[in-house]
Amino acid sequence: MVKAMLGWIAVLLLLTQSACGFKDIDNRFFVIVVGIDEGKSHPYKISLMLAIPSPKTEPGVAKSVIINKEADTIAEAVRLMKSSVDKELDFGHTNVFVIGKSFAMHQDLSETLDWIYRRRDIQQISMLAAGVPDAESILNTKPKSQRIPGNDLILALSGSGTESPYILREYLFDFYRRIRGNGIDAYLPIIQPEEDNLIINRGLVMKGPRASLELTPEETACLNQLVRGFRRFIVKAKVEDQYVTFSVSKLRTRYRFAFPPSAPPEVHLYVAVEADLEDSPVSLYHHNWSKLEQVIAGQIQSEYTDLLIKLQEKGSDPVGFGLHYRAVMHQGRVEYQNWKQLYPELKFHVHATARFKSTGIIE
Amino acid sequence: MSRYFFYIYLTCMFINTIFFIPRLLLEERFSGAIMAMMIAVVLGSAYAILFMKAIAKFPGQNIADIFERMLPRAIRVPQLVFFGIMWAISGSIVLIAFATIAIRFLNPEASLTILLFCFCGICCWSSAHEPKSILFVTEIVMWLNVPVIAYIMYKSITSNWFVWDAIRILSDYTLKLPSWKALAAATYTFTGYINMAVYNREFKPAKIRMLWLVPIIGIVVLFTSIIVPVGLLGVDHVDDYIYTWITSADTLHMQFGVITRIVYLFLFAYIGFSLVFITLTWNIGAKLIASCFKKQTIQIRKLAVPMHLPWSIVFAVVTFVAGLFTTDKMVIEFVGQWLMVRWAAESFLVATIVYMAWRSVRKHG
Repeated sequence: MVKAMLGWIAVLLLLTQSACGFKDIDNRFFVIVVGIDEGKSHPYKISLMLAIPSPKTEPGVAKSVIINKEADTIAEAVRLMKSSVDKELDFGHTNVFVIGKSFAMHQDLSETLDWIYRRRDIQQISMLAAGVPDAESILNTKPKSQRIPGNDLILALSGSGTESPYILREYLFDFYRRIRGNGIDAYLPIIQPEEDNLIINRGLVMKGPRASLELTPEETACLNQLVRGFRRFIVKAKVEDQYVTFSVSKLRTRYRFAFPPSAPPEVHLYVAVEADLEDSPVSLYHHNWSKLEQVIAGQIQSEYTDLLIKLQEKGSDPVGFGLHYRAVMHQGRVEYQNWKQLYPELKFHVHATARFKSTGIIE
Repeated sequence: MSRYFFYIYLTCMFINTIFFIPRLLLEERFSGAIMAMMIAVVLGSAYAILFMKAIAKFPGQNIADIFERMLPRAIRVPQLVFFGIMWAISGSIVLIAFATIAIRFLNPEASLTILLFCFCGICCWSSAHEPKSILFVTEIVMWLNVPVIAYIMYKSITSNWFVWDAIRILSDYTLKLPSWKALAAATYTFTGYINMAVYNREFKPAKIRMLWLVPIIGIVVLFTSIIVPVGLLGVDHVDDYIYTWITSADTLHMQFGVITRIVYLFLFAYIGFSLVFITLTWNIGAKLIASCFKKQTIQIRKLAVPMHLPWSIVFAVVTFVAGLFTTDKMVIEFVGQWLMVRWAAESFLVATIVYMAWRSVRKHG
């Protein structure tokens, strides 16, 4: 008797489930990409790419809606946009945040992007990027190969599609700890539209909370190796006055500090690579291989040194030398104050070693 | 039977290292949290081993039985009621915390009232069972969830985005005097053994083997629970995150998994642990309070209701009401204060049992 009654109560409880606030998937708009720009009349201009679910997933038929709004805060813009669409906006699948370059240059990103850091439904593993000329034009570009809305950006940035050394990857949680923490600076990949395609081959490096330096593709690749240990890159060097390209298959970088007495502190960066020949107009099989190794090492050494000095001149530290300094010194809170004075006069010594493994399937 | 002891111990450890302890410790990471953890390993294991050795002198008895032999009613009853309430609170804060987390991360549009009602209802029902069945369900949940947790821990430590420099920075702040709050928080990790105060009755040969595992498991779990958030969320602003561990789990992903976000796997595992933990603590709390009464069952018509059921219902109702009115900040601040009271109470209970064991050994040889 009592058991039966309890059973009925359990069944009746199921009726209350409507109050769980479940909304049918047909009544939701999934926001895939969010673009953040400076507005004309307001501080923010927010653009959202909303995916339209479609039964077909064929290349080029991905349908999406782009809506945008200017407002004083991101939250306000989103609320205003909610009234301009018929379905509930859902940020649970937002994978990419594109920040307009001028926004990144002029605004303090540790404060102005607070909405992204604070919202509970935004994934910590969503990716950030900078858009040139602005974020909105990135959202409006639709590559022909696209099968699912916004998927081209996700595939390229996350590395599950193309794997290019020129594409930096920055997750939200990593961006947050870099931009608010001391001793390491954030970076963003730069996306630029070109007709129907998006080109991602440069990097934007922050100094503190603001963007400070735009890197060339070569420097971006170099930074990618340093901070992420990205190892599929190429080394272009001159051998017998011809350009020869080596592809790298293994990379190991590590660095340590040295404090010579009465001289500025030094960073010794050790880079070890294993390379194959990928493209060469001259036959190198009978060449002296240890000379080739020296050529590769020399090339890497000069690329790394140039990048490090360029970053140092700007006062930006995406590699995290400051963090490492704080880790190896045992002085507590004054470490970072000392580091800020030390960084401009730091000396970089790059020690590159290369191992040349093969010339491919021909001599 | 020893394994059941470790299941209880581990359940408490897993729960406590996720919900409040990392947050309380990480707030003080530059002022003595590390030292607090190291002291806690020594103190916590010492408490656990002392208590287990002492309670082994009373095979098949719980503290209510022991107190009954040794203490007059006027001292015994307030103590048992106090301990019962302490146990109930430890379950209730986890329930409220998990309800909030479920709303935040699983379904933000859900109504808190219904969610709390369901959680309280389930836990009330399950905590009214007999200790034996609760021990069995703990075993099942443990075997289901430990592989998941182990996988997540492995994933986080080996993550490419894990920054070991952050941990090394933290090591500069080892030699600092910890605050009482940090110490109380860190020792809470080891508290699982105290459940034996009641469940000892189920352990007929009361000897628990392999007690040396207690400090080892403790060190591994406690330090992992602090190191992983620091490595993943950065040393300077890890305390910005309110739900430290949920956010840490969200930084991991399985590219080719059924679901990409590991945080859901994590929440799934922790729903199990939380429910078991609440069941355990409410059951113990209700048993302790019920043991103050002469009658052990109440007759309602033909049904004999065990005495601890009404107390489970009381806990559930109070938790339900409290859950509706508390805010995130109130819960965290309450836990900070409660932990210190809890530590004092725990020390007192351990000291009492050790003293009683010593006295009974002396008396009976």
